[in-house]
Amino acid sequence: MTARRQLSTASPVISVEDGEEALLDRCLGGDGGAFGQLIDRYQRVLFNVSLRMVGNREDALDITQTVFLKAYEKLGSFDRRHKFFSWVYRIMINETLNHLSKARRTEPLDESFQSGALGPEEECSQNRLRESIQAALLELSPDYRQVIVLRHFGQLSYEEMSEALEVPEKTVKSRLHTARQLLGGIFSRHGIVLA
Amino acid sequence: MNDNDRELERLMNDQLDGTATPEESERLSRALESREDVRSEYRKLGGVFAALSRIEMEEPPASLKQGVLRAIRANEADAAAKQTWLDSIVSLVRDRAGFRYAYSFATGAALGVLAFALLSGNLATRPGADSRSFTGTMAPLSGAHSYQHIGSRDFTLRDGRVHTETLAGPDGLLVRIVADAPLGSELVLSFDPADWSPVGVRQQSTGNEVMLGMGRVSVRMQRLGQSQYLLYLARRGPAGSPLRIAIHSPDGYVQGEIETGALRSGS
Repeated sequence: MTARRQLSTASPVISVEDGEEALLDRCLGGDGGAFGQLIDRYQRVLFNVSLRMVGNREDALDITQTVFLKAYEKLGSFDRRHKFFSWVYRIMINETLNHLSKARRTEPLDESFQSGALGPEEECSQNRLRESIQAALLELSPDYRQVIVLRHFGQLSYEEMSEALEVPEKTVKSRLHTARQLLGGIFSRHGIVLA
Repeated sequence: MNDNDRELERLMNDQLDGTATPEESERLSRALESREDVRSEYRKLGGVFAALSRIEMEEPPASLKQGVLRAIRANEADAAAKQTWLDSIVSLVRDRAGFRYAYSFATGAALGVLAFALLSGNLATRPGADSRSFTGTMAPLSGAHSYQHIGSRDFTLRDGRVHTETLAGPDGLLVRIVADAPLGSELVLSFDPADWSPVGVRQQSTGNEVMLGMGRVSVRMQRLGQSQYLLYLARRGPAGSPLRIAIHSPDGYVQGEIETGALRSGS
């Protein structure tokens, strides 16, 4: 069985300069502070990736917490030849897709967005525009949405996306191009001004 | 779309992604200067990039980190408690004469209840098939003797692990399974019902679906984290045929045999 690590209290001194390798070693040695530091390092980007995939903060919080828990539990089996964050992203993607397949999200877009009947004031509202863009994103299928989210919100390189999604780089690029094209079509259909 | 258009589409994406080489940028510039349709596509694609850049990163809730650390501590406390529970059962049965008699009595009572349930039709089982969800505690087989360790085996999944251990008693077998498998995984322990008869199964952490049948026991993982099961099998024949385990997980399929060696040799 995987050796259990007891989560201890944080080390008295935690260096923000710690490299990832050192943090992982400390985690495997049972240093709770080190895992907390890894959470600090990745929670923002993972939460945002999840948020853009599922579209609401509550589900994104649940998913992100589950991802960190799984990462902690499986840390002993993590292959150190790979990048830690690619591994965590892969857990995140699986969790998110599981969530989406269970939820079979069918939330309709709100009426004003669908009809395009926005008042001039609303059209000028940046918040409104952001909501519309997020809603358009949710219209993409999960496969296309995830490449957009990983590239534009997770800021992953093609190589990192290839590792996280376990598909060749060529597939990543081709999927990303198609996803952008589809998204452009959705924007046009809903009258989102592209400039 | 011809090859040239596909190449232009790639160039446009790379340019906006910031991964185009100077030569590729130059090639794209030439196409943009000479073709209106390319300019139109490029504007549209640029609009997608611009729109996506308007969505700002949001701060995660402050409870995220604390929730994770709290859950880890709770899981570890739970795992430690489970280990203590198993150790205490094994040591009680092995070391204390008083408990052996108590187990004999409890086993007789439990078998009586089981026989009544079977005769009255309240516990229907079908050979080789799952019967119904079954979770709880039943007394081990005749407790007048110690359980002896036979062997253990680990089955490694890409994203998890299943540990099995067998302990032999005079009348049967205690199988301990500790599973740490992805959600949706199914563990199937199968055996020859002519040789082994399931007496009971104990699930140490609720939440997973456990099915007990005449020729098999299955567990479907529906909760995150480590789970432990104790399965009591009564020996029906003189020989102890092997137990087989099959693990179907989202990561793949693993199978193998679990040793029942001491019983096979008739000891």
